[in-house]
Amino acid sequence: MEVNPTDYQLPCGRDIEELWDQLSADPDHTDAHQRDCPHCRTARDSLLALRAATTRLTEEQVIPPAGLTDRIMSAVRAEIRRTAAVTVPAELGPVRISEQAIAVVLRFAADQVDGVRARRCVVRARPDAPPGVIDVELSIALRYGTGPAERVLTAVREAVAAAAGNGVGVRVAGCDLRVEDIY
Amino acid sequence: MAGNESGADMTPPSECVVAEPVIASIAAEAAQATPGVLRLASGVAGLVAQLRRETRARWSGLDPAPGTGVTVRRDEPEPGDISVRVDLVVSGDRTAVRVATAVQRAVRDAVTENTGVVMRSIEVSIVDIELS
Repeated sequence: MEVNPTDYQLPCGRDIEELWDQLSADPDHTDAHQRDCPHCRTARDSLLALRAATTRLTEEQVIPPAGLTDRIMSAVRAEIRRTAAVTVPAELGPVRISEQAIAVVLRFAADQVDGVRARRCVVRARPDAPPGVIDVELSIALRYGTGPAERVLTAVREAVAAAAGNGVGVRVAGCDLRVEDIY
Repeated sequence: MAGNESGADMTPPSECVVAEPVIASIAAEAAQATPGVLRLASGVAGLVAQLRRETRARWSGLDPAPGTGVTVRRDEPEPGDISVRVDLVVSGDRTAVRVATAVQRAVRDAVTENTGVVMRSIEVSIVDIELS
């Protein structure tokens, strides 16, 4: 083991590297000089203490706390969700709401409309609008025979706008619907 | 806080600094108690800080107040300039923005009342809305 980049000599002329190597080979072995020399004895004792401490550390079993993986994953999720957010200014500071969190609420609202199954929902803060205004892209599947598509789509738009206003507190500027399937 | 310099008393001008973890844990408690807040969410940095604190708690035997989900930033030029960010998961039963502004007020009141610190800005970040 390299204790120091340059050779480190004890005042008695012995090399501390050699002493360490000797300890590693056989901790109990000492020669006549080492038994009498105070420098060698001191160095030997401290190296033995170091060895004992490091051995204890390497033998210690590290057990990760319970639920660590879950906590890491939810931290990572929170980190990602924080990056894409809609900002609403408030008196004491900005309020930021994850676009993905809004999308979940709006998608659920659209799903509640009779004859509609919501699929993908993407929410974006409208770039050139006042804060708190969003654009929504929602793809849905319609049940065959529910009625005129026009009426159903209007109902979906109303449900999305209401959920954005009451559930989240943002305003929907554009709501693009895409009928992808019929069931 | 500057001391009384002109008076006859012997008190030298002094300063009182409230450490970030103190503000964080008061803010966390206030936010957690706000109706509509389900829990505070910590990012990766917050998790690392929390794990470090837990480890230290195991060594020292003390259980420090948790401040997870709250980031306190002290802007250097003005020592008293403190801003706070709270990351939350809220319930879908209430209007999310209203819950957030209520959290801002609760945090401001609790921190100012308990430490005297007036914050420059309280940012609330809603990372998730849970529908029941």
